[in-house]
Amino acid sequence: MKTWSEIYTPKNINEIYGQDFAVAKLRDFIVGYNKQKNKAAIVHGPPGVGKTCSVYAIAHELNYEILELNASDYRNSENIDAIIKPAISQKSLFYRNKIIFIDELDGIAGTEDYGGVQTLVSLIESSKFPIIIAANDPWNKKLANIRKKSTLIEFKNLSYLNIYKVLEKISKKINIYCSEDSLKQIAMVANGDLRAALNDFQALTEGKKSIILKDLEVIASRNKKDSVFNALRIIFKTKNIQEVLNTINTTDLDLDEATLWIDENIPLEYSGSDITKAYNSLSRADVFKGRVSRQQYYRFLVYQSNLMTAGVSLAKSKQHQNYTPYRRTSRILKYWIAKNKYQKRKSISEKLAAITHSSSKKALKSTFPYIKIIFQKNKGQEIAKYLELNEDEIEYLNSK
Amino acid sequence: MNDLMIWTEKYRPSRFSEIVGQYMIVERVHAFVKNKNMPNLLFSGPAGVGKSSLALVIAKELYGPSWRENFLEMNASDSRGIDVVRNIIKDFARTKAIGNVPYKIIFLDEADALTREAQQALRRTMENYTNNTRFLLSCNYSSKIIDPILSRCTVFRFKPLSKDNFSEIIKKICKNEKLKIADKAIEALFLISEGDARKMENVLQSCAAISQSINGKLIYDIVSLAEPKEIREVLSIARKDFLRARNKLLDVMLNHGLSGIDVIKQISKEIWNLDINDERKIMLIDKCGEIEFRMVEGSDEFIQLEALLSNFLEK
Repeated sequence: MKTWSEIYTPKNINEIYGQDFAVAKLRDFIVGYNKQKNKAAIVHGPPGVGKTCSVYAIAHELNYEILELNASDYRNSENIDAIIKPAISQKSLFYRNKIIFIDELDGIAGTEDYGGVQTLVSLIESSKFPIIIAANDPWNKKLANIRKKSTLIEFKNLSYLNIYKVLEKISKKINIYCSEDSLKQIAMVANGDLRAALNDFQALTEGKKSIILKDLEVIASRNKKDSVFNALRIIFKTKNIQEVLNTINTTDLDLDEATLWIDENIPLEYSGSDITKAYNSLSRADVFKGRVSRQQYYRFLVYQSNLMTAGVSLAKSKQHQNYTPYRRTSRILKYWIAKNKYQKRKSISEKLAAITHSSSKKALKSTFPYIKIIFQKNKGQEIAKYLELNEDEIEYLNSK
Repeated sequence: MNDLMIWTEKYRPSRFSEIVGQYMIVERVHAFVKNKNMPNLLFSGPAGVGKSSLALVIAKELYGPSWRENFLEMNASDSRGIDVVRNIIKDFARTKAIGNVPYKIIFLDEADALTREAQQALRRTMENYTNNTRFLLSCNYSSKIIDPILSRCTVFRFKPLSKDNFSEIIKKICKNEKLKIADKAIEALFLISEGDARKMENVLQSCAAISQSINGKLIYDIVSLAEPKEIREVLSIARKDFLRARNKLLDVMLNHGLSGIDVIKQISKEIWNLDINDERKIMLIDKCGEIEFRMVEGSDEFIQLEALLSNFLEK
C-alpha cells in the first residue's frame, strides 16, 4: 500500500505550496549551474516541508534526470566515490542533463562516515552537474566543509493554512466529507510537517465516509495512550525480559515520554524495596540519557532503554496481578504552572542579582527570602524604590 | 535617595583598609595594585568570604572614579553560553583602558559554573587579549577549573571568616544602624551563617526590620522563616509512604525554587539528625553522594531525587 504522502506528492512546481521563494532559488541554481561559484546547493529545513519533492518537481519541469543517493545507504568513502564519480564526469555527446541528489545528508554525518563527507567535498569541486544536498540541519558541525562550498536554500516550516489547502484538495478528490474544523485541526497538529499531516489524514479516513472534529480527537489521543499503557503493563506485570524488550522494540515508544509514565507509576505498582530497585534502574537510565545529549553519542540510548524497561521490570520481587489504573504524570504541568506563578520571584531575584554582584540563582537563595521578610513587616518601601520594583512585584513580596 | 538599601552592598568595603579577614591575600593584591602590575587572578573559596568584594576593591583602587568603564563584571551562571561570554568580552576588550592603567579587568564570577568546553573556549579568549586585559575569576571550588586556566592565573584560596572577623563586622554595622546586640546573638549569627558574611548581613537586616534590639531567639526565628524546613518533613514521610513523600518533595521544590543540588545538600545535612542507627546514616550519606554524582551526569534531577528518596523507605 502506498501512503498518501507518496501518492499526492506534487509532480509540478505549481503544485508545491508555501515554498515559492525556495523553489525559485533552487530552480535558478540548477538552470544557471555553469555560472555558479558554489558547485553544490544545500536545501535545508524541517522534515516534511517539501525539500525532496521540490527537487523532483523541478527536474520534471526541466526534463532533467535525477541520480539520487539516499545517503543512509552509501555511507563510506568508497561507495560515494564509486557511485558519484562516474556520474559527475561523463558528459558524452548524447547526454541528458541530470541532477545529483543526495538526500538526508545528516544521516551520513556520523563519526564513522567521516570519510564519506570528505570524499563528497572533493567530488563537488569537479562536478559538471548540479549537486543538490538535502539536510535537516545544515549547521551540523560535521557538514562544515560541505557548507563552505554550497549555496544554502532554506525551506521554512509550512503554515497551517498551506497544509489545510492541501488536505482540502485531497478530501475533494477522495470524496470523503471532512468538516472544515477537523481539517484545520489536523493541519495544526502537524506543526508545519505536511508529510505527517497526510499520514494522519490517511489513518483517520481509512474506511470512513466522513470526518468531523470529534472523531479526530478520540482516535488520535487513544492510539498513543494505548501503546503507552500496554508497554507499562508489560514492564510492571511480567518478569519475562524477552517479552519486555520485544514490546519496547515493536511499539515505537517515545523514550522521554515513557520515562515520565514509568516514573509516575512505579510507586503505584511496586512497594517496599522493589521501589528502591526500580528507581535505581530508572536513575541509571537517566544518567545515560544525560550522556546522550551531552556527548551526542547515540549508542547510549540502548542502555537508557534497557535499564528503564527491563531494569524496572526486573526490580520486582514478586508478580502483581491486581489491576493498576496508570496515571499520566502531572509533574511537567506543575513545572509549567510554577514557572508562571513564580515569574515575579524570578524577576525580583534578577533585579537583586544586578545590584548585589551575584547570580540570580544565588540572589534567589541567599537574599530574596530575607528581603521578603522585610516586606512582610511593612518596611520594604525604600527597598522597592531602590530596586525599581513594579506594582506586581511589590504585591508579591507583601502577600502572605 | 539612599542608594544603599541592601546591607550587603551598603557594608561592602570599597578600600583595601576596610576589608575584614583574608589579610595575607589582601596584602599581596594590594602590592599588585600599587605597582599597577597585575597577573590574571583566580579567587577560590566558600560563599560570602570576600571574593567579589576584593575584586571590586581592586577596580576602585586601581581606576578611581572611572572604575566602571574599565571593569566588566559577569556572572558565569547567568550568562547563557560561552558564545555570549565571548562576544561581550570581545566588545569590552576591543577598546583601550581609560586612564593611566594599561589594561582593563574582566571579572568572571562563579567561573566554576562554566562547563569544561566553555572553559576551553575561555582559555583561548584569555590568550587573545593578554595585552590589554586582565582576567579575574572567582569560584567555590578550584578543582572545577581546568588546568590550563589555573596555570594562567595566580590562585588565592580564601578561608571562611573567623569568629573575630564576624564580630568586627557585626559590631560596626550595629553601631552604624543603632542596633543593640547581645554577645549571645553575635555567636548565634556566626553559627547559622557558617562563615558566610552575605548571609549574616541579610539575616541582620531582616532582624533590624523587626526590632532594634537583637537577641538569639529573633535570629533563629528569622532564619527558620527564610529557610524551608519541609525537607525534614519529606524525609520523615519517606520512611513510611514513598508516594506521599515524593509528591510533597515536588511541591517544596517548586514553592521555594530549589534545585536538585539544593535539595541533596539539605538532605545530606538532615540525615545526621534522623532517628535511625548510625550504619544506616552512613549508607544514606553514600547514596546522597552517588545520586549527586548521577545528577551531574544525568538529565532529569527529579528522577534522581526519587531514587535517593526511595532509600529512606523502612522495610
